[in-house]
Amino acid sequence: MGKAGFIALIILWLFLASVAVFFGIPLVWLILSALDPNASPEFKIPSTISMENFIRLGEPVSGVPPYMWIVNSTIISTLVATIVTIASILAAYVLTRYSFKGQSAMLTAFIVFRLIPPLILALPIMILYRMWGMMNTIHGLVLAMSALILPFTMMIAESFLKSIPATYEEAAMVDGCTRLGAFLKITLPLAAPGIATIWLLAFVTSWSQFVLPLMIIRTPSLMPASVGLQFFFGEYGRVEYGKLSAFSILYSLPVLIVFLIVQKYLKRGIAGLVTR
Amino acid sequence: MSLSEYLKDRFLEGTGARLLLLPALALIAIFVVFPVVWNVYVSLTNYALTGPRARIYGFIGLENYIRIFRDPSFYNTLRVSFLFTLFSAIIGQAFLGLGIALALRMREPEGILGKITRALKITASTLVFVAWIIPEVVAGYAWSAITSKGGLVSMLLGVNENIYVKYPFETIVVANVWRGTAFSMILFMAALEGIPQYIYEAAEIDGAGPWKRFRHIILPLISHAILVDFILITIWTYGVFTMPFMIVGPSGQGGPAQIWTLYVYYNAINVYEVAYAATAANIMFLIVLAMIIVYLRVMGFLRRWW
Amino acid sequence: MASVRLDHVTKIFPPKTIAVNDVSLEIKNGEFFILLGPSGCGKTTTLRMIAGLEKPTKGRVYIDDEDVTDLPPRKRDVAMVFQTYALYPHMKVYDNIAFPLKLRNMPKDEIDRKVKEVAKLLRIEELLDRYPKQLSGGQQQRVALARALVRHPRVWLMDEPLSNLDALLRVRMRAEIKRLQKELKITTIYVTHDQVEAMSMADRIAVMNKGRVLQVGSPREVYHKPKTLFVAGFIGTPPMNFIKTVFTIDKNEYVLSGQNFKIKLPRQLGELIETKKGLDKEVILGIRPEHIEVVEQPIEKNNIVEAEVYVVEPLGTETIINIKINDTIVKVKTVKEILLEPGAKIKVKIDPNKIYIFDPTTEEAII
Repeated sequence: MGKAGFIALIILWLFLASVAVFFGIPLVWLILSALDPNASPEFKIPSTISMENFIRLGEPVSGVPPYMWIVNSTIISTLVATIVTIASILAAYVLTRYSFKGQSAMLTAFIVFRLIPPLILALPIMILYRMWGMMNTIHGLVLAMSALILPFTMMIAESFLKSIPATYEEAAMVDGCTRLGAFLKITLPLAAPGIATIWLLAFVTSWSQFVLPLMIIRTPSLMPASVGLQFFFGEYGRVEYGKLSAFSILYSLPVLIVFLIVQKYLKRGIAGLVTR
Repeated sequence: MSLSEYLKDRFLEGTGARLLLLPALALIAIFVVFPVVWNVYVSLTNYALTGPRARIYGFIGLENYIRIFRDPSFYNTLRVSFLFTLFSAIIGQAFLGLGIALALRMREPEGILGKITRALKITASTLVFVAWIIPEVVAGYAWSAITSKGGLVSMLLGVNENIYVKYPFETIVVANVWRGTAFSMILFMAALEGIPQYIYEAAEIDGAGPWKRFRHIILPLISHAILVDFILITIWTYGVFTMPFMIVGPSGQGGPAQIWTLYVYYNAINVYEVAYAATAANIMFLIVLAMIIVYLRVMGFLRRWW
Repeated sequence: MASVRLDHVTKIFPPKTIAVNDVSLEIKNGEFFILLGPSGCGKTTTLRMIAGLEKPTKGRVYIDDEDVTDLPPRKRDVAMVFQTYALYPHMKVYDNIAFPLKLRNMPKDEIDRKVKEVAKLLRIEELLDRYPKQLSGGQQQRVALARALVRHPRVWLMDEPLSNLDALLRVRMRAEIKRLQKELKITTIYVTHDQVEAMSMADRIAVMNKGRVLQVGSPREVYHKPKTLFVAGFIGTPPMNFIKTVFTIDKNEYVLSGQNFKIKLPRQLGELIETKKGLDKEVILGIRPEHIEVVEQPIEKNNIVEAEVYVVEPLGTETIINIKINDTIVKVKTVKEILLEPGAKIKVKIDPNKIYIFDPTTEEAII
């Protein structure tokens, strides 16, 4: 390697290292403070490392044990993911296997819906829910959240079903299947990885959603983790950093695991925006 | 023809198939389209969150719109939103993302130096990615903590104060760059991977140095990706709510960091003026819609010509 | 085994693409029938309407005189081989072949017997335990054929089944499919754009273009008696040459006169053209490359055309000479070894007994 090459390599290292530091610091602090019983905003190696913060999550915060929020999030996200997966697959099936008037307009509309900032919807939904008596209800949250996530999962479902040639279904129909049978016996098994991906992505998207529950769930015991987490910010600016960090890590784990699983697919999805 | 025969053979052939669209369309109609329309209606009333105007409210025409265009805090939020989007999305995320993507494509030398380079690449890109996927509230919390008094940032700057109070705008801009860079990074990585190796080789044979290669080969070939990236991250950054909400609160530390989403929330929930908030939301929605239309046009153009 | 009949079938894809335009066909029991035409001519759509995958906009489809127009594919008892084979990727070869039988609730041991039987017929016994992905193109093709044969369908439909194979394999599979069809005597409707394939396999060919059937006949018929300019130009390699001429009488003899040549027609032929078209009319002369002869020392003056060599393509057993007659490029096929340089002036003889005459406006054959 020449001298110029070596200097270039050092510059590359410095750049990558600063990127790692900038993006790593908040994450590292989160882990360190979760392990520190005396955690504070200060960036420090804990004098004693313990799991105390995690254990103390059993104690109620604002009258609700924090794990309840995780349970709520699990229920809500499971329902949302299931609803949007079914609705997306059904709709994508029609969109990819039939042609009808207004089809491309519909796909375009879904792109538009997908890009609407959630707050734009959360505000009127709150107003409507106050009228409909759906404030503070899990089903109200689940339905609104499903609608919010649906355009996103729809696009994935559509691209996924499009990648499975309709010829398979046609062959099955000639072989003796009904149209539905061909879909169930041939396309659905082929789409299984895609369906799992959609479900998982919908699950974590719903899991992380904040604006909608913030606006329509006001009862602490019904809150999902994203909103319940607010209660660790005690009154008068007193924050229980250790417990909050511990809770944050637990709350983030499912998301990290899911992205580990679907990573490849996700990158392909983004790549799809620029390559063909 | 029996009913089961009918269902088996006819149902999915004709209009029946379209019934399968129903769950999706119903959800969208009730919880997306209708609320957007309802928001317009609400903005024409004097509806409030609490008090007598929460129960009995009336149609007041365009009064809210007239009021909002005379409201200095509205112009403040417009300005803050614009600057936030500009600095955080275009200048921050896009350029940093491109830089990281290019760095990740640099050739690794042989031996131990290569191994170190590789380890650095993996560490950096993983951290960028994790910052993007963890729940937004967690990201917001972490940033509010490290920018608190006594936190790492205040130590580095030598300011013994809450940084998010002293520099609220800068804090949310930087925090949002931290949050969103991964998308641009992945998009540019994909675009760079889409450039065939032989083009680099041809350029090298033609005697193009690194800068010329970047300027005349790479940049034109990823220009479409840059365009798509700019538009998408602009739309997303413009609609950001959660992290700023966690770091500077709905008032945006009394204005300087009050992007429009905070402004809408603040007016609806803290000031109880829901109709006024809806008015602001509608105006902001029109801006988003304009950006979305640009995006659709660009995508349509790319599909046809590129 | 069955006959198939299409009765004035039309297919319009919305908004207004007319894919198939008023097609009537009758395919006989046990016949190997080929739909031939360029891509987009409507042949595949026709086949899919017989399969039941598309519904005709107008007209009826009959199998064995039973009106199947409104029946779904599974009730038509037809089998189809797709261009991409459409082997179910998540099923092993065995299950792919057994699938149509399972759907008919056949007992397991019978399925097993039939699958093995057809596997033997197609020599794919050792592949039964593999997934489609693990097979070569040719092997996939055999599995697709086996799946279509296993239940002894009334009609065997094939949509360009050989187009994804390499040239050598294609020639081999051609013979094999033909042998199978003759052995099993299954009514077969086969779609292809490859006229050599059609000529070598079919009992009868229907040549299609722009949604219409232009001619139906045996390979010999469509080759020797093309009814239209399109059919004449589509069948045969290299394709038939077309030269613009005027039909007239010169010195009491019928002639086709070009810019600098005259072809004397036999009296009988001339009279026929005169009654059908009339004198002094522009007609298109069609002549196959093999019916033009390069002559070095012309004995007679008639039917000799002066030309310039454009390019020579030696193909081993034969040579294609491209010549320029005025501004028209004409291909000449010869088995003689001829050494010619581009630009050389030569004389060719056109055999007046082997020519075709077409009407330039209707594009139909006059003789």
